[in-house]
Amino acid sequence: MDVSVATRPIQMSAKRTNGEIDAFLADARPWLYRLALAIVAEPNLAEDVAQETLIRANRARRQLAASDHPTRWIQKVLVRRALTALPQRRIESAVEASYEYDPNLALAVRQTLERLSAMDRTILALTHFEELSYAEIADVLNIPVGTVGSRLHAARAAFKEAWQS
Amino acid sequence: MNHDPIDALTDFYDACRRAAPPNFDGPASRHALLVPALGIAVGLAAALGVALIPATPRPDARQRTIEAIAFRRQPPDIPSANLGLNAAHSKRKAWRT
Repeated sequence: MDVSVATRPIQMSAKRTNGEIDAFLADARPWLYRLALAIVAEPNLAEDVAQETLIRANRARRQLAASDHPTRWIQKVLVRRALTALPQRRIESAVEASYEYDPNLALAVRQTLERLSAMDRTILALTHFEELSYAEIADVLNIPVGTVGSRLHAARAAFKEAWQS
Repeated sequence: MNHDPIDALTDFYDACRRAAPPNFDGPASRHALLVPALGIAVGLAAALGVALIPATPRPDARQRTIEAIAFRRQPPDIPSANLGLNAAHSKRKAWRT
Protein backbone atom coordinates (compact mmCIF):
# COMPACT_ATOMS: atom_id res chain seq x y z
CA MET A 1 0.00 0.00 0.00
CA ASP A 2 1.43 3.30 -1.06
CA VAL A 3 0.60 5.87 1.56
CA SER A 4 3.40 8.27 0.76
CA VAL A 5 1.00 10.60 -0.99
CA ALA A 6 -1.16 10.81 2.11
CA THR A 7 1.57 11.68 4.59
CA ARG A 8 1.04 14.63 6.86
CA PRO A 9 2.79 17.92 6.27
CA ILE A 10 6.29 18.62 7.47
CA GLN A 11 6.76 19.77 11.03
CA MET A 12 7.65 23.40 11.44
CA SER A 13 10.32 24.77 13.70
CA ALA A 14 9.31 26.23 17.06
CA LYS A 15 9.70 29.81 15.85
CA ARG A 16 7.70 30.05 12.65
CA THR A 17 7.86 32.73 10.05
CA ASN A 18 5.07 33.63 7.65
CA GLY A 19 6.99 31.88 4.89
CA GLU A 20 7.16 28.68 6.93
CA ILE A 21 3.42 28.83 7.60
CA ASP A 22 2.76 29.37 3.89
CA ALA A 23 4.90 26.34 3.08
CA PHE A 24 3.17 24.31 5.79
CA LEU A 25 -0.30 25.18 4.48
CA ALA A 26 0.70 24.48 0.89
CA ASP A 27 2.15 21.14 1.97
CA ALA A 28 -0.98 20.33 4.01
CA ARG A 29 -3.45 20.81 1.16
CA PRO A 30 -3.37 17.29 -0.37
CA TRP A 31 -3.34 15.66 3.04
CA LEU A 32 -6.27 17.76 4.28
CA TYR A 33 -8.28 16.98 1.18
CA ARG A 34 -7.69 13.25 1.52
CA LEU A 35 -8.55 13.23 5.22
CA ALA A 36 -11.72 15.20 4.47
CA LEU A 37 -12.54 12.75 1.69
CA ALA A 38 -12.11 9.82 4.07
CA ILE A 39 -14.58 11.42 6.50
CA VAL A 40 -17.22 12.94 4.24
CA ALA A 41 -16.77 10.46 1.33
CA GLU A 42 -17.74 13.03 -1.25
CA PRO A 43 -15.10 14.83 -3.34
CA ASN A 44 -16.96 18.13 -3.66
CA LEU A 45 -17.74 18.33 0.01
CA ALA A 46 -14.20 17.21 0.88
CA GLU A 47 -12.86 20.05 -1.25
CA ASP A 48 -15.10 22.53 0.57
CA VAL A 49 -14.07 21.22 3.97
CA ALA A 50 -10.36 21.33 3.07
CA GLN A 51 -10.68 24.81 1.64
CA GLU A 52 -12.56 26.12 4.67
CA THR A 53 -9.95 24.57 6.93
CA LEU A 54 -7.17 26.32 5.01
CA ILE A 55 -9.00 29.62 5.18
CA ARG A 56 -9.49 29.20 8.94
CA ALA A 57 -5.82 28.34 9.34
CA ASN A 58 -4.81 31.33 7.26
CA ARG A 59 -6.89 33.66 9.41
CA ALA A 60 -5.50 32.16 12.59
CA ARG A 61 -1.85 32.34 11.67
CA ARG A 62 -0.83 33.47 15.14
CA GLN A 63 -2.52 30.49 16.76
CA LEU A 64 -0.98 28.18 14.19
CA ALA A 65 2.44 29.72 14.71
CA ALA A 66 2.14 29.42 18.47
CA SER A 67 0.76 25.89 18.50
CA ASP A 68 3.04 23.13 19.79
CA HIS A 69 1.53 20.69 17.31
CA PRO A 70 0.45 22.56 14.17
CA THR A 71 -0.46 19.33 12.39
CA ARG A 72 -2.79 18.32 15.21
CA TRP A 73 -4.17 21.86 15.37
CA ILE A 74 -5.17 21.89 11.71
CA GLN A 75 -6.42 18.30 11.96
CA LYS A 76 -8.82 19.36 14.72
CA VAL A 77 -10.06 22.26 12.63
CA LEU A 78 -10.71 19.96 9.69
CA VAL A 79 -12.53 17.36 11.78
CA ARG A 80 -14.79 20.03 13.29
CA ARG A 81 -15.52 21.39 9.82
CA ALA A 82 -16.28 17.90 8.52
CA LEU A 83 -18.54 17.13 11.47
CA THR A 84 -20.56 20.28 10.90
CA ALA A 85 -20.58 19.91 7.11
CA LEU A 86 -21.86 16.33 7.10
CA PRO A 87 -25.38 16.81 8.38
CA GLN A 88 -25.90 19.69 5.97
CA ARG A 89 -25.43 17.75 2.76
CA ARG A 90 -26.39 14.32 1.61
CA ILE A 91 -24.10 12.14 -0.45
CA GLU A 92 -24.79 12.27 -4.17
CA SER A 93 -25.22 8.96 -5.89
CA ALA A 94 -22.87 9.77 -8.75
CA VAL A 95 -19.66 7.76 -8.85
CA GLU A 96 -16.71 10.08 -8.78
CA ALA A 97 -13.80 9.60 -11.12
CA SER A 98 -11.27 10.38 -8.43
CA TYR A 99 -11.63 6.91 -6.91
CA GLU A 100 -9.17 4.57 -8.51
CA TYR A 101 -10.84 1.30 -7.59
CA ASP A 102 -14.07 -0.51 -8.27
CA PRO A 103 -16.61 2.31 -8.64
CA ASN A 104 -19.49 0.06 -7.56
CA LEU A 105 -17.66 -0.82 -4.36
CA ALA A 106 -16.86 2.86 -3.79
CA LEU A 107 -20.52 3.71 -4.20
CA ALA A 108 -21.53 0.92 -1.83
CA VAL A 109 -19.09 2.17 0.83
CA ARG A 110 -20.26 5.70 0.39
CA GLN A 111 -23.90 4.73 0.67
CA THR A 112 -23.09 2.72 3.77
CA LEU A 113 -21.20 5.62 5.31
CA GLU A 114 -24.15 7.87 4.56
CA ARG A 115 -26.26 5.88 6.99
CA LEU A 116 -23.77 6.39 9.81
CA SER A 117 -23.65 9.37 12.12
CA ALA A 118 -21.06 12.08 11.51
CA MET A 119 -19.20 11.02 14.64
CA ASP A 120 -19.09 7.36 13.57
CA ARG A 121 -17.66 8.28 10.17
CA THR A 122 -15.11 10.60 11.72
CA ILE A 123 -13.90 8.07 14.26
CA LEU A 124 -13.60 5.38 11.56
CA ALA A 125 -11.58 7.73 9.36
CA LEU A 126 -9.29 8.80 12.19
CA THR A 127 -8.68 5.17 13.12
CA HIS A 128 -8.41 3.44 9.76
CA PHE A 129 -7.35 6.30 7.50
CA GLU A 130 -5.24 8.49 9.75
CA GLU A 131 -4.17 5.55 11.91
CA LEU A 132 -4.16 7.68 15.03
CA SER A 133 -3.81 6.24 18.51
CA TYR A 134 -6.72 6.32 20.96
CA ALA A 135 -5.06 9.18 22.84
CA GLU A 136 -4.64 11.18 19.63
CA ILE A 137 -8.25 10.56 18.61
CA ALA A 138 -9.41 11.62 22.07
CA ASP A 139 -7.43 14.83 21.68
CA VAL A 140 -8.81 15.60 18.22
CA LEU A 141 -12.43 14.87 19.16
CA ASN A 142 -12.11 16.31 22.66
CA ILE A 143 -13.51 13.19 24.33
CA PRO A 144 -12.07 10.96 27.08
CA VAL A 145 -9.61 8.29 25.93
CA GLY A 146 -11.80 5.60 27.45
CA THR A 147 -14.69 6.67 25.27
CA VAL A 148 -12.73 6.25 22.04
CA GLY A 149 -12.67 2.45 22.23
CA SER A 150 -16.39 2.12 22.87
CA ARG A 151 -17.26 4.63 20.14
CA LEU A 152 -14.98 2.89 17.66
CA HIS A 153 -16.56 -0.46 18.49
CA ALA A 154 -20.01 1.03 18.01
CA ALA A 155 -18.98 2.70 14.73
CA ARG A 156 -17.60 -0.57 13.31
CA ALA A 157 -20.73 -2.41 14.35
CA ALA A 158 -22.92 0.28 12.78
CA PHE A 159 -20.93 0.12 9.55
CA LYS A 160 -21.21 -3.68 9.39
CA GLU A 161 -24.92 -3.56 10.07
CA ALA A 162 -25.50 -0.85 7.47
CA TRP A 163 -23.36 -2.76 4.95
CA GLN A 164 -25.38 -5.92 5.31
CA SER A 165 -28.79 -4.28 5.23
CA MET B 1 -22.76 -7.95 -0.28
CA ASN B 2 -19.94 -10.40 -0.79
CA HIS B 3 -17.13 -8.17 0.46
CA ASP B 4 -16.13 -8.08 4.07
CA PRO B 5 -17.33 -4.65 5.25
CA ILE B 6 -14.12 -3.69 7.02
CA ASP B 7 -12.06 -4.77 4.00
CA ALA B 8 -14.28 -2.68 1.76
CA LEU B 9 -13.86 0.26 4.10
CA THR B 10 -10.08 -0.21 4.14
CA ASP B 11 -10.03 -0.33 0.32
CA PHE B 12 -12.08 2.82 0.29
CA TYR B 13 -9.59 4.59 2.54
CA ASP B 14 -6.71 3.38 0.37
CA ALA B 15 -8.47 4.91 -2.61
CA CYS B 16 -8.86 8.13 -0.64
CA ARG B 17 -5.10 8.12 -0.01
CA ARG B 18 -4.49 7.90 -3.74
CA ALA B 19 -7.18 10.42 -4.66
CA ALA B 20 -5.90 13.33 -6.67
CA PRO B 21 -6.45 16.53 -4.70
CA PRO B 22 -8.11 19.37 -6.56
CA ASN B 23 -6.02 22.14 -7.97
CA PHE B 24 -7.72 24.76 -5.89
CA ASP B 25 -5.87 27.87 -4.95
CA GLY B 26 -5.20 27.85 -1.27
CA PRO B 27 -5.82 30.86 0.90
CA ALA B 28 -2.12 31.63 0.95
CA SER B 29 -2.07 32.36 -2.76
CA ARG B 30 -5.38 34.20 -2.52
CA HIS B 31 -3.98 36.21 0.34
CA ALA B 32 -0.85 36.95 -1.67
CA LEU B 33 -3.01 38.29 -4.51
CA LEU B 34 -5.48 40.10 -2.30
CA VAL B 35 -3.00 42.19 -0.34
CA PRO B 36 -1.31 43.86 -3.36
CA ALA B 37 -4.72 44.36 -4.98
CA LEU B 38 -6.02 46.07 -1.85
CA GLY B 39 -2.83 48.12 -1.64
CA ILE B 40 -3.21 49.30 -5.21
CA ALA B 41 -6.89 50.15 -4.66
CA VAL B 42 -6.16 52.12 -1.48
CA GLY B 43 -3.23 53.89 -3.15
CA LEU B 44 -5.35 54.87 -6.14
CA ALA B 45 -8.16 56.10 -3.89
CA ALA B 46 -5.72 58.16 -1.85
CA ALA B 47 -4.11 59.64 -4.96
CA LEU B 48 -7.51 60.53 -6.43
CA GLY B 49 -8.64 62.01 -3.12
CA VAL B 50 -5.57 64.20 -2.88
CA ALA B 51 -6.02 65.33 -6.48
CA LEU B 52 -9.71 66.15 -5.98
CA ILE B 53 -9.37 68.14 -2.76
CA PRO B 54 -8.82 71.82 -3.71
CA ALA B 55 -5.69 73.32 -2.28
CA THR B 56 -6.80 75.90 0.32
CA PRO B 57 -4.07 78.26 1.44
CA ARG B 58 -3.37 78.00 5.13
CA PRO B 59 -3.12 81.31 7.00
CA ASP B 60 0.33 82.10 8.22
CA ALA B 61 1.25 82.05 11.91
CA ARG B 62 0.77 85.74 12.50
CA GLN B 63 -2.70 85.75 10.96
CA ARG B 64 -3.67 82.70 13.05
CA THR B 65 -2.53 84.49 16.23
CA ILE B 66 -4.59 87.57 15.38
CA GLU B 67 -7.67 85.47 14.75
CA ALA B 68 -7.20 83.57 18.01
CA ILE B 69 -6.94 86.81 19.99
CA ALA B 70 -9.94 88.29 18.22
CA PHE B 71 -12.19 85.39 19.14
CA ARG B 72 -11.01 85.13 22.73
CA ARG B 73 -13.73 86.03 25.22
CA GLN B 74 -12.88 89.16 27.18
CA PRO B 75 -13.70 89.37 30.93
CA PRO B 76 -16.23 92.03 31.90
CA ASP B 77 -14.98 95.29 33.25
CA ILE B 78 -14.63 95.38 37.04
CA PRO B 79 -15.60 98.67 38.69
CA SER B 80 -12.56 100.08 40.47
CA ALA B 81 -14.70 101.03 43.54
CA ASN B 82 -15.43 97.37 44.20
CA LEU B 83 -11.83 96.55 45.01
CA GLY B 84 -11.70 95.26 48.58
CA LEU B 85 -10.80 92.20 50.65
CA ASN B 86 -12.74 89.91 48.39
CA ALA B 87 -11.76 91.62 45.22
CA ALA B 88 -10.34 88.46 43.75
CA HIS B 89 -13.53 86.56 44.60
CA SER B 90 -15.67 89.25 43.05
CA LYS B 91 -13.50 89.21 40.00
CA ARG B 92 -13.95 85.45 39.59
CA LYS B 93 -17.69 85.76 40.25
CA ALA B 94 -18.00 88.48 37.68
CA TRP B 95 -16.09 86.41 35.21
CA ARG B 96 -18.49 83.51 35.70
CA THR B 97 -21.52 85.71 35.10
